[in-house]
Amino acid sequence: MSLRIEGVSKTFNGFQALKKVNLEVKEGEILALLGSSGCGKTTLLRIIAGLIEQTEGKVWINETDISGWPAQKRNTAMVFQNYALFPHMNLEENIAYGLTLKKMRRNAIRSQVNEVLKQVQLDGLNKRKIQELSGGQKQRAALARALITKPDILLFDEPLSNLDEKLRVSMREEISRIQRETGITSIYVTHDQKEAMAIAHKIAVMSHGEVVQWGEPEDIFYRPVNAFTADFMGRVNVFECQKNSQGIFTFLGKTIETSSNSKAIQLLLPPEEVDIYETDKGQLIQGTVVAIELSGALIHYRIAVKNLHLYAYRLRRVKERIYSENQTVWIDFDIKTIHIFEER
Amino acid sequence: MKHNRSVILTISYGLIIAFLLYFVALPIVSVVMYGFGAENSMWRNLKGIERSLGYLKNSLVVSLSVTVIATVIGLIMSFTLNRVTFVGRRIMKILVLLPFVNPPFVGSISYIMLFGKRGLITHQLLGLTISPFGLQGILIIQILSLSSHAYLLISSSIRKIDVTLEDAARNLGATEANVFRTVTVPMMRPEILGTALLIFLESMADFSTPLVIGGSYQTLASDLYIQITGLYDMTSATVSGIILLMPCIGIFILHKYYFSKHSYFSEDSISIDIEYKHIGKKTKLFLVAFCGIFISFVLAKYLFIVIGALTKSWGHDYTFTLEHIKALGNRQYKPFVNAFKLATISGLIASATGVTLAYLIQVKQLKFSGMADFLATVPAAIPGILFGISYLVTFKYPLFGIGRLWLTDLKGIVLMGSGIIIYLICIARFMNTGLRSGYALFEHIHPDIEKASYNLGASVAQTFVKITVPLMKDAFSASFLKNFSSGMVTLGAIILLLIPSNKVAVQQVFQIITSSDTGNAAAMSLMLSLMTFVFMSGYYTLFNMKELMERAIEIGRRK
Repeated sequence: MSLRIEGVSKTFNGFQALKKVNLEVKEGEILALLGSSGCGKTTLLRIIAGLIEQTEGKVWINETDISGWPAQKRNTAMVFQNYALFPHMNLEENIAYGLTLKKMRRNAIRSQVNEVLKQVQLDGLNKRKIQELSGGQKQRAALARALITKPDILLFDEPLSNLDEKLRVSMREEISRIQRETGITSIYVTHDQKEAMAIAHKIAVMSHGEVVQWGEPEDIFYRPVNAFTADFMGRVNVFECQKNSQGIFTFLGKTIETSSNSKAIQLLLPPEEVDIYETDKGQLIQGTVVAIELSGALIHYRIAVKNLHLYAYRLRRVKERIYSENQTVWIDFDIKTIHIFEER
Repeated sequence: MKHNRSVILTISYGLIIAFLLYFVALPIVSVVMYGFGAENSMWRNLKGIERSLGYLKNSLVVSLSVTVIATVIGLIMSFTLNRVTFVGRRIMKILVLLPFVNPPFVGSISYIMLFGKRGLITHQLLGLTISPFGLQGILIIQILSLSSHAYLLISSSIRKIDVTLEDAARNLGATEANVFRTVTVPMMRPEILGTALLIFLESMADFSTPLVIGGSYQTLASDLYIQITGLYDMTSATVSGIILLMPCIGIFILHKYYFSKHSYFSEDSISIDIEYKHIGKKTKLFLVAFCGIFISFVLAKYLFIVIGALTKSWGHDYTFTLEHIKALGNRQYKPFVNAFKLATISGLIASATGVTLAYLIQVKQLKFSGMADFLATVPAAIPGILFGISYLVTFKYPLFGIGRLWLTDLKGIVLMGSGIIIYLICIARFMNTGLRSGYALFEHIHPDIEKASYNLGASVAQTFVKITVPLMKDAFSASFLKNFSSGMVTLGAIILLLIPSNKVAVQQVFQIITSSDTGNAAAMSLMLSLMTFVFMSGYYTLFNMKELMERAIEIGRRK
């Protein structure tokens, strides 16, 4: 099933939470709604589920306009942030809930419950109380409860935010696997850009109720449209550049080829593209190491060059030379790797 | 953590425990011993027991039916007034609480006015002279007043419901009715059952309603009163008391150690947006109408009190008069002063000790806290009249009661007959309000707050004064308001302990009703309700002055 959101707005007591949002998800795809808290991503998700009514705009599933439908009638299933498992039912009863409402036969329900439990690797825990499940198990249970209704659209509301880092990585692989196996069109709300990149076919970056950028993860990571998206994707080294008297843009002495007519441009220098040398091999730019931070397999250098600070990420391998604080170094980068923002 | 103790706190804890042992444990033990031990005990007299069991049956019939009906009404009203939006909701929310400021038998007076031998409806309109007294009257009166209690108890937990669970159910295809039946009510089941148990206890303890309008249908509680004041038979009264005590204590223990431990709610989950958004028109209409009808009954009770207080002689002469009101000023102001003193002083002491005890038990976790908690809460389960009897049989002996065992000849200090005893019994009974209010508070406050203060160099005493006491202020206030309103209208526990010089207003009203002088009774009830109301709103305004001022300024600015 495909999903289309058309000019959806939502106002809460005068506060505009969503402003004319347009989005589309193709059949079988996962779209990640990425943004910081309060950007409207959860509101949009709840509008799709029918739990909140939009102030204006339409929601389509395939060619059906479901905008006015109550939540009960929509075949969407949501995995809630705090799981929202019913504490007065055991695991099996929780998962069977959607089917018992449809007055299905007991045997049919039981076999479907067992099947879905196997799918999320909770088989055998049928009679467990919710309070006795671990965080990861609750997460799987919430997913199973949503899957069993065979929804048109699966909705994930920051499903992994209550789990620790290690579990988060394995669960997102699992969600990814199950989504690809079942092929259910999904929307995944998160504030974690790594999670969005790992899981989604498409990402929509949201800010203040608007979609800032919408596209494939690679596009958004390497070609953010503005400084906000770049910053949100964890991209550092955003700089501003003025046109000089000859009418060309230069950055650290290198000429930028651009057709831009404006007086100033904003650009991103990917930190992984910055090389560092101990000695000047000619044409290099001199700088001083200001700070060093080890981040797993990467080393983050902050280097003072002329009047600005820039970051350089190097892979920390055995043969890699490691520089120390206050050391004078020489840097270089290929001017073709910089990205110029379309928007300011 | 020994160094976190202060001498003063430990001494206060010791004093509170001593008070509880002496004024809760001792009277209960001695009334039971009295009942079992008396020479011509009814335990040796099967007829007597049969008689008591007959009253027990009446009590159970009343209490069980009232419990079921009042809890259902309370449930419907809490859902409607808290979760359905409609015009007039705020005013309804205030009106539904009216029964808390009136004496317990305002309902009974109105009932007699309407359906009594000279009643407006039965006599005047239908020309009947039938007697309305009996079971149905007791049921109607108790349901009308206890439904409000049920409403209040259920409402306090209704905000804790996690509405995302309801959303999850809707999302999985549940209709609104399904959501209510399979998620909302089952989630609240422990709270609903807990409410039912408390309603049961209140109904069991009510002796005045059966006395006033029960006619020949009397319950165990009212029989206790008759045994003592009418027949002066302390022994049979005590035996009936023990039979009454057993189901009450049973229910109390069930509630305290089972139901209250099985909640699905966490203390700190409070949902802001709990309104039902997709409620059907017909359902909404039904719910609002239901509440409207109930509240108009509550209002009607007051209306008849007002009319009764301002007419010459109900049933005979309906001309307007200020006679009853004037009579209040002429001779009966003393009981009001007494009631006010009793409510204020015992309310203050009980709330302060209750909240402090909650702090000592929950935060400090001292020894014997389980016992202290039990002793401070158990008076809530003991019917007031029985608790009064237990004081009667304990403190009529010298040396504050203990003298009974070995100082039989000594006159000495006898608490019974002194004015202090009614204060003591009220403090013992009201302490549990402060305790519960304190528990609710300290569950929200992380113990590290105090540790942070120690860490910054404050002593235990300094921390208590500068950090803990200011935090406890709200819990104290809530408890004091509740205790004050109970204190103004408390009757069961003190009625047998009063002496002529400290008679309170409620008791006067009670005596006048039993002698069927409706006009005076109505005027006094009205006065009592007004006093309670004025004092409570005054207190509330005083303590929320800052907030109210700010709101006033805000409104002024908007204009």
